[in-house]
Amino acid sequence: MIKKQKSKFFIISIFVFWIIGFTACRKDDAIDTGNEVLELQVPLGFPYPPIPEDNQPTKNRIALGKMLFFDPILSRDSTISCSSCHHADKKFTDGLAVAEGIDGRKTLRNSMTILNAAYQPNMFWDGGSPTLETQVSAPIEAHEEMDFNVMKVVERLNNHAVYPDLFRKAYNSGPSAFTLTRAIANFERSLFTGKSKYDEYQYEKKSDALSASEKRGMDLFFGERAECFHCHGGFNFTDFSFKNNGLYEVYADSGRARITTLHDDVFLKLLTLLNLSFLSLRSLLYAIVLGSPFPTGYLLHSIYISSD
Amino acid sequence: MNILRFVFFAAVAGLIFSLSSCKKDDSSDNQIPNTDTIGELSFNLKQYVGNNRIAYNQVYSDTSGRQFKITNLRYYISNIVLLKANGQELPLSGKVLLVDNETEQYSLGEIPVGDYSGLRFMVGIDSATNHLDPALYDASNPLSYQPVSMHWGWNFGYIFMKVEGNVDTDTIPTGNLNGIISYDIGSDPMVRVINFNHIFSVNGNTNTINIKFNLLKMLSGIDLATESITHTNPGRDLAERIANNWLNSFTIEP
Repeated sequence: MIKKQKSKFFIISIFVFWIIGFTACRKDDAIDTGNEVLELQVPLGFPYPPIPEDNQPTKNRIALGKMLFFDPILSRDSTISCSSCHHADKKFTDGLAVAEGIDGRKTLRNSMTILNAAYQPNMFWDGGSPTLETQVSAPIEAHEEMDFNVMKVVERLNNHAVYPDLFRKAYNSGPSAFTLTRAIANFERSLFTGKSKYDEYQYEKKSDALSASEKRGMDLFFGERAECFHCHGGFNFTDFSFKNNGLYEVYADSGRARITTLHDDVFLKLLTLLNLSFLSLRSLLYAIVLGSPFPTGYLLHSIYISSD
Repeated sequence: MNILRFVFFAAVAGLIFSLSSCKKDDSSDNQIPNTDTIGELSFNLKQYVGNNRIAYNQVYSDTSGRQFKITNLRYYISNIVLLKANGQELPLSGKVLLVDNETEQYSLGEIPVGDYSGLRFMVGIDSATNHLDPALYDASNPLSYQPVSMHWGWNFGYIFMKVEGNVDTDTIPTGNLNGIISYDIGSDPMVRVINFNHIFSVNGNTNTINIKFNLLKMLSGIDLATESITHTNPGRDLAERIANNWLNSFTIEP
C-alpha cells in the first residue's frame, strides 16, 4: 500500500515538473524576442546592406550598442561618449569645423555622419580602418579623442553593475574586445538617413514633394552642366571615392596619403549629400561653381548659372 | 516500480558513459611527451643600451653623449624559423612574441630534438596577419588588443615596436630631459627579418637561446635631439632608418 502511494506520488510529481517546465519555456519564448535576428529598417530605394555573419542585428545587441554609444565610460576621464561628436540631433555629426576630444583637444578633422555607415566600404575620411567593427578602437585610443584603451574599457565594463548581464544577454558572453566592438558596430549599422524630400519624390513617386526651384536644382545636379552626380551619385549620393575639392594647391590635411603614404593621395572620402543642412551650403556651392584654379583639383569645370 | 528501476539504471548507465568518455579525453591530453624526440625551447630576450641592461627611468647616454631615458619598450617578434643542421627549415607557424623590457623568458613550445644550424625571425607582423581584427583573439594572445596599446585604430594594423622615453635636447648636456621620445614603428613595409648563424642543439629537457637587443645600435645615425618622434606616417624616412637598424641590433649571446 505504501509502495503504491509512493509510485503515485512519483508520477504526479513528474507531471508537475513537466507542466512547470513547459510553461516556463513558453513564457520565455513569448517575452524574449531580444535575440532574434532582425531585418534592418532600410529606407525605401536603398539596398539591404552587407552584414557580417558574426554580428547579425538583434534587439539586445542594438540596445547594448546604443547604451555604449551614449556612455562616457569609453573615455579615459569619463567625460565624452561617441555621441559627444556624433549628436543624434545633428544627423550624428557635431557641426564643428574639427571635432573635440577630452580636455578640449582638437582632432585633425570634422566628425563625419554615421548615418548610412552600413554601406561604407571602409571607415573614416581617409579609409584607415576596414569595417564598422574594427573602427571602434580608433576613437577610444586616439590621444586627441577619448585617449583611453580598448582593454581598459573592457575592464571597466566587467566591473560595472549592469553591463556584464547585458553583454551576456546580447552575445552570450561577457564584455571583451570582441563583444564591445561588435555591440557598438551593431548599433551604428542600424542608423539610416530619414526619408528626405528627394527620397519622397524619387522613390515614393510624390511629384509634389519638391518645389519648382528644388526641381531646377535637381536637374542641374544630375545634368552635364554641373555634373555633381558623377561622384555624388547613387542612393547614398556618394561613390565613396577619395577626392579633394580642388580649392587649394596645398592642403593642411594629407588625407588618404596618411594611410597610403602616396604623396598624390591628398584626398578625403566623398560625403553623402543626404540630409545636409549646413548654413554654409550656399557658400560651398558658390566656391564649387567657380571651378578649380588648380590642375590637381577634382572640381568641376567652371559653369555659369544664369539667374533665371 | 519497473519504470523507476529502468530510470535508475538508465541514469547510472548514462553517468558511467559520460565519466568514461571524460577519462578518455583526459588521458589523451595528459600524454607524456616523448623526451627522445621533443624538447622545450625558449628565447631569453634581454634589452640593453650598449652593455647596460635597460631599466626604466635610468639615464643613459647615446654614442654622442646625449642623455636619455626609456619609460616603455616593447616589440613584436613573429615568423620564427629554425634551420636544422640537415638544411631543413622548421617554421614555428602562428608563434608570435610580444616582447617587453620586464620579461626575459619567451617559450617557443615543443621543438623536435636534434642539431640546428641557425634561425631567423621577423621584427613586426606579416601583412597577412597585420590587418586582421585584434578583437578576434583571446585576451591572452599577444595579437589581442593590449592594455598598453600595440595597435593603430586610425591606420589599422599593429605597432611593431614602441619606444617611449625622454631626452635632453640641448647641445650641451644639462641633465634636463625636456624632450619626448616616442617611436611607434609599424605598417607592412617596416617588417625586417633578422638572420642568425648559430649552431645549437635541442635535447629532451628545456633549451634556451639568449638574444640581446641593443637600443644603441637601433639609434645608430639618429640624432635624438631632432629625431625623437615618429609614428611612421607621414614621412616615413625616420621610421625606415630605425627599422633598417634592427638588422644590426639583435645578437645571440652565449
